[in-house]
Amino acid sequence: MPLSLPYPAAGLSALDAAAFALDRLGFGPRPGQAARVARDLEGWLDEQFRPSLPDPDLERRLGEIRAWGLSLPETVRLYKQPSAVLREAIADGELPAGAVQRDPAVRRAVHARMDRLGLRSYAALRRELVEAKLTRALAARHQLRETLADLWYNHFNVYGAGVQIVPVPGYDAALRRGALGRFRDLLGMTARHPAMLIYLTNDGSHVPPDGTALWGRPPRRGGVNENYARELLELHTLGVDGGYTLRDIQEVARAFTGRGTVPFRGSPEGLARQRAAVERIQSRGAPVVQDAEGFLFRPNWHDAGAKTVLGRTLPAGRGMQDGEDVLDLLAAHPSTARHIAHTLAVRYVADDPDPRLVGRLADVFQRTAGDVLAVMRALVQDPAFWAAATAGPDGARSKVKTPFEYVVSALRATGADVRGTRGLTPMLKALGEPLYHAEAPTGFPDHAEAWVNAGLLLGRMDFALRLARGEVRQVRVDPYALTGGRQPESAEAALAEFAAALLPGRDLASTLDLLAPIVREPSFAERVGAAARAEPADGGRLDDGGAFADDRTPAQQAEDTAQFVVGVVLGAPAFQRQ
Amino acid sequence: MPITRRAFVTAGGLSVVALGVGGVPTFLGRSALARVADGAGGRRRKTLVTIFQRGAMDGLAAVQPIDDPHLRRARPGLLLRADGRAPDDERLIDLDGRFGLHPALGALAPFWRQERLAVLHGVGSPVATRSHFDAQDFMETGRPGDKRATSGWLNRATGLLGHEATPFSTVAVTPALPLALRGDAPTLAIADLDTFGVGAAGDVTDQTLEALYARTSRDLLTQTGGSGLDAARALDAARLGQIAPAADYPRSPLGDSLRQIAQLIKGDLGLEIAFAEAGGWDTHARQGARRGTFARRAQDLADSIAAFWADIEAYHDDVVVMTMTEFGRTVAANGTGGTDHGRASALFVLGNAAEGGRVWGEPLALAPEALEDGRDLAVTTDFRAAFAGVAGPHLGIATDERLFPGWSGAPLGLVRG
Repeated sequence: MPLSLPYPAAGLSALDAAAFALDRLGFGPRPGQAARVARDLEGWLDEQFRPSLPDPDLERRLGEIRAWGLSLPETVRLYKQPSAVLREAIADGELPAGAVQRDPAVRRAVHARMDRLGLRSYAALRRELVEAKLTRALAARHQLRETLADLWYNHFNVYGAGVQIVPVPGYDAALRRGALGRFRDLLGMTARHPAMLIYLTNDGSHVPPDGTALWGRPPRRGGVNENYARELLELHTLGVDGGYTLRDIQEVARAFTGRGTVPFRGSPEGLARQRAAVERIQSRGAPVVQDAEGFLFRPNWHDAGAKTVLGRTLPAGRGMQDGEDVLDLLAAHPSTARHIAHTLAVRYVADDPDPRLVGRLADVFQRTAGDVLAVMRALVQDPAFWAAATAGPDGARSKVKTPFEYVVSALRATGADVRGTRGLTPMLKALGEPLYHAEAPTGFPDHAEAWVNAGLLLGRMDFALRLARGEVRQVRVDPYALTGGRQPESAEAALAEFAAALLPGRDLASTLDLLAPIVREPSFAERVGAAARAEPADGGRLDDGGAFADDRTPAQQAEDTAQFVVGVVLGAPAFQRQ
Repeated sequence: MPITRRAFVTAGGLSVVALGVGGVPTFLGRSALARVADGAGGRRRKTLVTIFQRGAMDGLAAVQPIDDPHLRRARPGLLLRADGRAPDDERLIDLDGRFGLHPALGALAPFWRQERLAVLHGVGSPVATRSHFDAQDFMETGRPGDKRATSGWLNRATGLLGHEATPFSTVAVTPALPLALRGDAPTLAIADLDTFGVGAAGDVTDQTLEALYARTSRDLLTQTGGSGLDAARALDAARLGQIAPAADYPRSPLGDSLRQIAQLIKGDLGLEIAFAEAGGWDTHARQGARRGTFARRAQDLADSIAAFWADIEAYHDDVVVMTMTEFGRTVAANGTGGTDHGRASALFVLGNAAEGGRVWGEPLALAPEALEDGRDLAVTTDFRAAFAGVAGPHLGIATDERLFPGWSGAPLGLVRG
């Protein structure tokens, strides 16, 4: 069915609407893109709503990034900590017993061994993941998929600290693949993915010693862990007020006992022991379930007793089906429809969306059995979506960008030439969003209160000016490409031209008023030229293997007015909004 | 022109610009700000440093009832002994014969002996949510059960200080602005003091950035941008970079945050309320006894606080540190060597003004039949009684409905005024 787009009723021209769609459904327009999309907005949206979109240019750019989409077993094979490689080298006799990493010769030998075997470190894995995510957001034609992939990652957040980064490449790829599909499929994927089962500690949860196992005898110690069950109900599906009890959580936890991961952590001997245990029960006929992503269901860990979840009885003795039934129940529950509709409305419409809009989207979700694409199609045909273009203060956009959205949109708006992300990655941390490293299961926040504060805004201005001046490593911006090579005749003219190029489809009057005195200030160019910045000190540390370590190009002499004006526009309040 | 408090606090750029400076001149910097920040009535400036332990600290692991028969049955693998049968390094630090401090928190033990450290056990929220996010929100707004509450209790405390806030009155050293600080009073979040400021924009601070972010107060962006610039400028003047830490902090997010809070205190920037956070307390698996996920977090907490305390030696009479966490954990161990979400936990108060050397709170009822929902240590002290009992006397602020709307309890006397 053709889309009906009620943007004129919101007072938007075709250009305004196209720019807003690019801003909100994607990571912002590239130079000239808003005008091109304005000529066929429906065509662009139809393209975004396709299940997939060929993108050879993106594939080429991603070609270099090896980690992308690897399953847990593949990542385990290709990425190792240098300390583990050292132990192996000692075990092989390649290095003498007692060799230590501190010794530069040992370090070199370890690196040589890693190169020879095609191994990379976890720090490299993290860098590749961030690079892949930035590259996709930056270059993908299928922008809607990228914003949804980011949303789903935060919705089903996992924290990639330490060894927990290992299953993340496959997890992120699976979320992205399913981003526009059925919610139930996404939910089912996360409920058996090693990344989630490890993060929410379901991988050790099993029937207690005095319970009845699905197969064989229960383990002699330990029992159920309710961490995953709780967040499954509270965050992934029903929502905290979705109508469940502590008892439901406990029962859901029992339903998911036995869901874990193939052994991949521990000493070589420990791993061999764990694998042998699985093989032993398999050889004796236990209905073990394994998949290529590294999921493992241990029937001797599953609580075979009957369970009651949300008033529904799950009969005894069924195994994996328990969890699947629970997911069916949750995915079809009206509270879930409301919760997911609310999450989408917060991302795409407003921090505090109109409950009526949420209700309309929830109806579509419910009617289509959780079809994300259908909800998104309904969203862009809803007047509330287009009204959000001017629902902020003084007719500004309703939403403030997250740091990730801000950085990517600035790169897209300037048509930046991004050869690598070494300079960008530390910026994301400085602005408060080190990708894949949100510790809490809620992921990174998607509302302005979290991001709008003095420190982070000054950080954004700092980023904007550095970007425009070419001080972000591996990134180049050519301001004149934005004006077709023309040198604006005056500072005011530069402001008008660059603001129009960087903020298409917006009412620029207040932004121009705001910025005009700044660019008229006669001495600013000299002041910019004299810029020298204190050496950045060591920032807050994450368990990230140094992936977000500061890596900035030192300040250079500013070239000209254009760079300054571009930086100021990117730092201005209007550009913080989307 | 006399420098006035007003000049520092207006979000609009005009007043500062009117001084004709692109930054507070160094000669005015520290002393002027200090005077400004001393507040009304010549009261000596006090600072409350709060630490939010996100993820819910197991209070029963941090401060363990010694030889409790119920705990021995419910969580044998998570307990330590206080007597000579345990090796020195694995022994609880006996506090009062009833309770023992986890040895990973050993860096706090000297403060206990000096009666500068108070423990409150059985503290928590009257609302029995076991959701991290709801419980954290309730604790930060100080309005348990009210999900529409939008202002944080430390923001309201800022408003009750009785004088105009300076840019650095209330600061969170965190990546994003915590709910506890959100609200009408000006507060500041700084992800990293070392790089705070305008960096590349350092040369264009005055009219340029003032004008950018100082337009309309209806726009969130402008509100905080303005005070941020004042702060950046003041910070620049205070030359904090030259104030080296006088202690070895753990290399951790909490250690970094407390090191920076100490810098603000030593820089005499008018800091009255500080907020830091420490994650990783959600010990569902492999919590351990002497070693494990809990002990690692505990070690970081205690070492960070001890380093901070050593670092601010000249300010011991004026600084109080208080920890908080959204709830406690199940009395029984779960099936994966950890604990699940529970109810009451414990908190620590450190300071020369603390009523230390004492475990506050009601006796812990740990018998199975006394547990809330059959599994959790019940809350016997409302967290608001604790917060009011610390912030009230220390900061000299009201602890009535203005601080905690809808609460009419009595503050717990954890701190002397």
